[in-house]
Amino acid sequence: MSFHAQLSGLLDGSSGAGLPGLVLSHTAPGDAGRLALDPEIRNWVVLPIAVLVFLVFLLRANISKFLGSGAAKKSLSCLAVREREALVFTQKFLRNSRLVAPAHYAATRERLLDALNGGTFLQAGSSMPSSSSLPGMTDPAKLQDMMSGVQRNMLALVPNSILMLWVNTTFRGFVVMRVPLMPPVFRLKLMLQSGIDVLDLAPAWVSSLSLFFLCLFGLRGVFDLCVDTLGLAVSPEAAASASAAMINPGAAMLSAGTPDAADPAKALQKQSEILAIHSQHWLFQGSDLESRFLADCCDAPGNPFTMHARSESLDVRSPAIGSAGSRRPG
Amino acid sequence: MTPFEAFCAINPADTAQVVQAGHKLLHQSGPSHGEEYWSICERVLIAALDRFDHFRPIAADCLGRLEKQFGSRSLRIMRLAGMFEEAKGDFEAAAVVYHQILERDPSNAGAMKRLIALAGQLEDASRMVTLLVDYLEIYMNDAEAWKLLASLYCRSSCYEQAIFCYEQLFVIQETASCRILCAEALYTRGDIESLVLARKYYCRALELTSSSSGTSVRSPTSISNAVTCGETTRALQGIFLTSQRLLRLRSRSPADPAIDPEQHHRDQLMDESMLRRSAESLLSVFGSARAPFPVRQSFHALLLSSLDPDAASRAANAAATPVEPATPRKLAPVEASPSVPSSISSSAASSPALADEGDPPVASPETTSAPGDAGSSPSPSSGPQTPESSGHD
Repeated sequence: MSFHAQLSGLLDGSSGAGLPGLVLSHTAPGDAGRLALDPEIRNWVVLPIAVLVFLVFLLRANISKFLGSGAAKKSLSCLAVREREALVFTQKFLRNSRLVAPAHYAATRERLLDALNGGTFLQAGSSMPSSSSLPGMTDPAKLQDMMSGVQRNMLALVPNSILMLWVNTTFRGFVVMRVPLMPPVFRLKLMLQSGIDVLDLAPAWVSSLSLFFLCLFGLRGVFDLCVDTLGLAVSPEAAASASAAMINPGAAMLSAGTPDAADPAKALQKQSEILAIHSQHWLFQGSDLESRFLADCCDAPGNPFTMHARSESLDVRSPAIGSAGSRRPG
Repeated sequence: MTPFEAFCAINPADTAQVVQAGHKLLHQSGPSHGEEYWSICERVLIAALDRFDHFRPIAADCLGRLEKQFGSRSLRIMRLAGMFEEAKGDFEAAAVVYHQILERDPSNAGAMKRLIALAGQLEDASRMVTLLVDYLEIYMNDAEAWKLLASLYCRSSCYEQAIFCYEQLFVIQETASCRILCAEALYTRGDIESLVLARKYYCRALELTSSSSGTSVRSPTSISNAVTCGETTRALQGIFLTSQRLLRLRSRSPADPAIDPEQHHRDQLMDESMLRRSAESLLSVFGSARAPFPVRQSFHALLLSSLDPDAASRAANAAATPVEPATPRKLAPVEASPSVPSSISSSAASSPALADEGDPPVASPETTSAPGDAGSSPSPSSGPQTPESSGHD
């Protein structure tokens, strides 16, 4: 492209002055202040990249409508739900075991231990994860789960990588902006200034690829706000998953996509370990509860019954019958 | 207050008002008014289904609007459509809809719950239990479902299973009402250990209510919340009845070698003291104007006789003598007598009459002299209280 050639021609092979639109004085690596950029860069690079990233977010949020797939919503299987609920229940049981009758406590503890050790709560009867295995690689069911997660990430990953490559090739070879407040370390210079071969340029000056990443992570929040206020996302499910999917592209690119499926299994195993050494301190042992009742109960000051009972004779206590008995001759 | 806030403030149980206010609100604002429009629409639909014969066109209208907006493929809309079929009376069609939802989304809790409710409408208790058990296999933290299952078991007299359900409930969420219900199931089981446990649960229920209402157990009628007052009274009744039964059971089996005689004696003392205490507090509750429910004469006599064992024999004497024709009259005023303050004043007025007749039927002039005591709940134990206060004068 002539545009491309024009832009790349700006910094071709020279470290000196005489380039249109770019004035370089002798800048030391620590000195990040004295560079004047062509305002054309702002018009033709910064704004287009930001707008492009925003449009890609919009596209991704509405893609279910455009493709007609509706696969954005992830519905869990019964076993997955049961796994989660079992975890919650076990935690509640450990916390509230003192409130439960001892017989029931013993029975439930046995049942839970059997279930957790035997893996009945886990999905598709998969085995408990051994400590040495890689997460998610042991079981076909878990792998499948991970794949569905990865499929979701693919949906986000593909346009991002395409865009990244395009930005890298198109806007190559020049400096776009300066990181203002906190200049990055000198070591990051290679990464941030990819394509710029000026050795003594301060690392605060970054290339367009860095701008692209900045927009990618930064515009996410802006997009969520716009979705909420302007209602840009078309389907409500997509709107809900828009924020969820946003987190995934970054995570997918940075790491190998840790699946969630391993975590409930590990958590359940941890719970079973706690349960194995757990014992019940029943709240109602002995007669403390009853003694408290006897101490607290009902000596209401305005209680005419007990008041009279204390002051009068025993006859008064059951006057309906007692008075009949006492006044009766014999 | 905006109309929307006014709508939200309506008691959801008052379905007629919900429908009327909601329908008006829907007409005033259009679908463009945002997310709330559709949630109001859903609420109005569900309320209209409650009184289907009156509000059928409104229900159909709301359902139509929702289907147009969200499409009839949406699971939530399908569930509402199923509820509409149920309200129409077409249970098979409703079941078909719910099964369709479950085919597409096997873990859909809403559809499962509707199937359970459908079985309940068809009064098929065993099917309801089966469906509930399957539902609770997955959603084991649903407290309402456990409560429902427990009540179903109780109704079918499967008390073991009911107690299991209640114990599960204590793990998830401990409330006074659950404690009371579990204690009642234990009481029905009837053996000594269950009765002891039941009494413990009743005490625990008292603790829970007193801690929630902020007062001590001292005077249940000072609790302003009617529900808590009722629960407290019920718990006290439970303590009374379990103690009584324990005394009876323990006195029947003292020769059991497994029972340590000292412990046995201590248990008996405990039973007796709990019996007295609970009887006293119950009598004070029923004596006051704010008793949560009226008490039967037989139970009242039971309370009295527990406090004063001689009164039991005296009551037997009184029944044997020719006073007997008077006893029906004795019954009537005790059931429907005015509150304590007015009865004290009226008893002061009619105390000369009291001195002549030694009999409880004197309570009747007092009730007739104070008939206009509106607003007082029937508090039968003011019967004994009035002659007693007249004994003062």
